[in-house]
Amino acid sequence: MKTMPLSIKVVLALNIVGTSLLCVSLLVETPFWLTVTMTNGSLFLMASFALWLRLVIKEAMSKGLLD
Amino acid sequence: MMPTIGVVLIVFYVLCVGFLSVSWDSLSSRGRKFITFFAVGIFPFFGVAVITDLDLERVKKVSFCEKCHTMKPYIDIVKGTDLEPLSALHYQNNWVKQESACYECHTSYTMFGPVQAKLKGLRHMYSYYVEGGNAKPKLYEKYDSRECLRCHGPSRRYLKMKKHTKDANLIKDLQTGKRTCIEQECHPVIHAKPAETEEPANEKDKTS
Repeated sequence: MKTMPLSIKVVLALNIVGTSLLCVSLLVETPFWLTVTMTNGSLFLMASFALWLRLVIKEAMSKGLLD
Repeated sequence: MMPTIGVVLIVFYVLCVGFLSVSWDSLSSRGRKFITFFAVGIFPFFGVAVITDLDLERVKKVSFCEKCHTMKPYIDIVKGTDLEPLSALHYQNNWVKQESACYECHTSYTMFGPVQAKLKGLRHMYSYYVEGGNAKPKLYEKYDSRECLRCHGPSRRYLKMKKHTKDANLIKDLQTGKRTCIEQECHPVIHAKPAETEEPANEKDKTS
């Protein structure tokens, strides 16, 4: 964990928040909270995926695998 | 089946993220990438799909619809003891699946009907919380008789009924959408307005 880069920490944090929100969406009862938890959970997961993909592409480019 | 898959996915995800956080320093570069790929690259797709499916299955239920203050009085009428209006008649006689009665009639019977219904649900949310609520719910567009005809259409009772055969073109017009079942002289009241429940209801039509 000590040597984990900040970018990966951010990706994992967003991922954990997104997953937690989606899990909470299974428990909430009202339409309002269902919408809030589902949409925000999906957005957090998408953001984490996009950041991770950016890291992967950046590393591939630095190694000359992508132009 | 779906809840089991959901639990398995969540456990798998927790294990991946936990292992990654605890053993990051001791893992090889390849190992880190491999586990991160599962936790961040694979899980979101399956996790979101399974959890969304479970959630969307839940929102089809009448018990979910009645959580909204605007709909509660209407659902009380549908569930009440009076067999009027038409919605109550369908619900109480189990002509539509009682558990998901709202969804059965208010979802278009088309390929993207359920998706449109969910988008409308989001619009309801916006309307309710941002535009200050809507005391009297209104349909966004004219109710399509196609939703009624998916059950009644092939019914012999409906096809042979005098009211429906009197006008030679009626059944054809209903099928093509030129006319609708909810006309003044046919089935004018589908949901009684909560304030009007004490008033005499419209003529009963239990035959179709």
